[in-house]
Amino acid sequence: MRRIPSWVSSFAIHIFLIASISVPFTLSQPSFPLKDWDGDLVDQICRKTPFYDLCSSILHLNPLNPKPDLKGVALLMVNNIVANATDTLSYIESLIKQTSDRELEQALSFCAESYIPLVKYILPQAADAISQGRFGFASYCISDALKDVNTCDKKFSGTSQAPLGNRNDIVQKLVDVASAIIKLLLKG
Amino acid sequence: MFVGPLYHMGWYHLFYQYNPDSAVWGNITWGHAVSRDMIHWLYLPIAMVPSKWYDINGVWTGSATLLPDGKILMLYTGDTNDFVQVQNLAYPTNLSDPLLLDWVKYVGNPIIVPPPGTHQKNFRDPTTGWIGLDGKWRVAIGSKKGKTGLSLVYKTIDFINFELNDHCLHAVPGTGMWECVDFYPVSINGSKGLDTSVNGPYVKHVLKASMDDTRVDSYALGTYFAENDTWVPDNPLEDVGIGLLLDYGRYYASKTFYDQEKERRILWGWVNETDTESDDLRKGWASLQTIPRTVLFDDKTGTSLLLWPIEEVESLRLSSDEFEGVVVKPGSVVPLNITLATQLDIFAEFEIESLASKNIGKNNIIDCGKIGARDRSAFGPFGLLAIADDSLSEQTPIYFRLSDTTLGNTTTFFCVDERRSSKASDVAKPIYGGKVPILSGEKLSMRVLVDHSIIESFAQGGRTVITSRVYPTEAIYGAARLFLFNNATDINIKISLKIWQLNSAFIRPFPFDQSQ
Repeated sequence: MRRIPSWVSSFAIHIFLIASISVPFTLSQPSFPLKDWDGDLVDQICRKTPFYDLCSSILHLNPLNPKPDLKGVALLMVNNIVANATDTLSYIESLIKQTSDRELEQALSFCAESYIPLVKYILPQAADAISQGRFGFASYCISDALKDVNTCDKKFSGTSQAPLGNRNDIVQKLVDVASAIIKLLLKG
Repeated sequence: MFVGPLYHMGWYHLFYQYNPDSAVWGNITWGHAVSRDMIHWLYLPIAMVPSKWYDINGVWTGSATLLPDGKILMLYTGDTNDFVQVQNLAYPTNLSDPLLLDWVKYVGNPIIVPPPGTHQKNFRDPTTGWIGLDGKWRVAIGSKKGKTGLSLVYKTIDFINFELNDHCLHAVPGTGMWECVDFYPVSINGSKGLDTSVNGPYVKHVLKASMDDTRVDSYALGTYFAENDTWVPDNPLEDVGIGLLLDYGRYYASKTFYDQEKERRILWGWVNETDTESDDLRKGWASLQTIPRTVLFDDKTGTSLLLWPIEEVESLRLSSDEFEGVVVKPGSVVPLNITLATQLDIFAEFEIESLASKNIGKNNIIDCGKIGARDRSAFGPFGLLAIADDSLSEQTPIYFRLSDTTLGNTTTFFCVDERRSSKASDVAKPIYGGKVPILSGEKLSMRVLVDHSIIESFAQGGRTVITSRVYPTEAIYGAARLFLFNNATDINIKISLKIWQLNSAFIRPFPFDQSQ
């Protein structure tokens, strides 16, 4: 049984993994996220990303029908990042409200400033671009997203503080995976 | 020169006068570049070309107005087939394109032609619109009558039909043609920029124009009377064209825009070449843009603006070197041991030590020095030698000259002396400078951005700014050095500095096809 990381608990749903390729199940009710995933396709794609486990966890947890293709996968990944980044931003903002440590507040505000344009503009634009087949633009947006997240991360490296836990790290990994998938799209 | 800077959907847009065929003026189109941070620019395809009778001789400069409903309207000057300057309207084809790649010209162009009494060659550079008391938009356009430079005002509701006001916004005799007029509010007690339509009791208005005759960017602070669309300077002796400059160096055709995302007013400046045209053709490029500057009212002096490089430039910083309390005696030069000296962000503070042996008096004649930094006086010049080589055969002094050792009492000049900036004989080597007010209790400081052939120098937090172009032949790449110098006769200088190496911004075409 594949180990599911704790952060995924919010997505935790009872899953049936159908490995069979030739007998796709059609989803009749949303509460049963059985997918007609081509297990091989997931494997093929995720192997070309830097974080195989993460990649395939997400693809196996999220329904993508009727025909999963690379573009749909990329879109799914980016939407996943949006969800995570939005969540992280809310968390940062709540930490800012709670803390009375000025230095911490400044570092957190700096991070919020990196995340806001990400959530407001860059990630949605990457998603739009993928839908419209503008993969070059999507690729640039995603690499920019990585820069923004790294900038936030650097604020806490070298200190003993890690108020964001591994949230930043997760968003970074998701962005790395999305970036790799979009590069596959660019190669055509 | 720049056209319609704006911020849209997470991207800063820069349009600029671009000749795709040569490194000299001609075939003027709108080049287009975008950036997430106004530092890392990516080139996009040309946005507009001369294509209609009303702009066939040049798609010139103009401004963007962002309507409350999100529409973007660009007003620009076109030079017609008969060389008449007219104003035209253009807008993006697709507002949901973050890159605003495609633009369309309004079918009814031109929307404004030179009015009676205005010569066809003295009517250009429409400003960003602002909303007046009656809800109508106003746009200013620079012109002249005789030798009086002035700004006309037009009113509009739809940016298609315009009516000319009877009175101009302001006029100043003897100043000649006003190009690139810019008109905007600044907050007198805040650290934020203001939208162009803001007005109120805690606001002053800046009127700026580029002086065609003298090629400087002049500005004045004053009051805008919205009832009749006129503006009056706070100090008529320092009116537009006869007072303060946005930059005392090589700097022209600048314009501001309101960055609604970060609530800042941002100033762009054009810096052209001071080498020869044949050099420009050989190197294949000409003209630069400064690092954009934020614009704030200087509430300490109350009579000037503060211009400062945008904080995003700090993302280029790599390693740094710090120097504390370096003493530089009269007539001496101190080298600074840093790895490279061609791409730098320098912050320096200066302390003055009167020499006990000298009879300290006042020094009445103060300017940049008849022979620049070599002109020694009691309390100056002292400062940095940038883009210098080991033997100092090439050097660009950036310096202060004081009239008094008590900072609150001194008349101070801030200068850049290019006379020995290069051994080349066919490049311009002027001395630039301007007064900088220093209030008691303040420390003497300067910030300098060095980038090979352009140096941007800021005194006292941006009260006086000088942009200079230098073309060294020896002090290049690994051979360039940075020194401290003190050419004053009666004082020691103690200098503390923090110097960052700056990375390249990797300005390149937008990577649409490659995956980086």
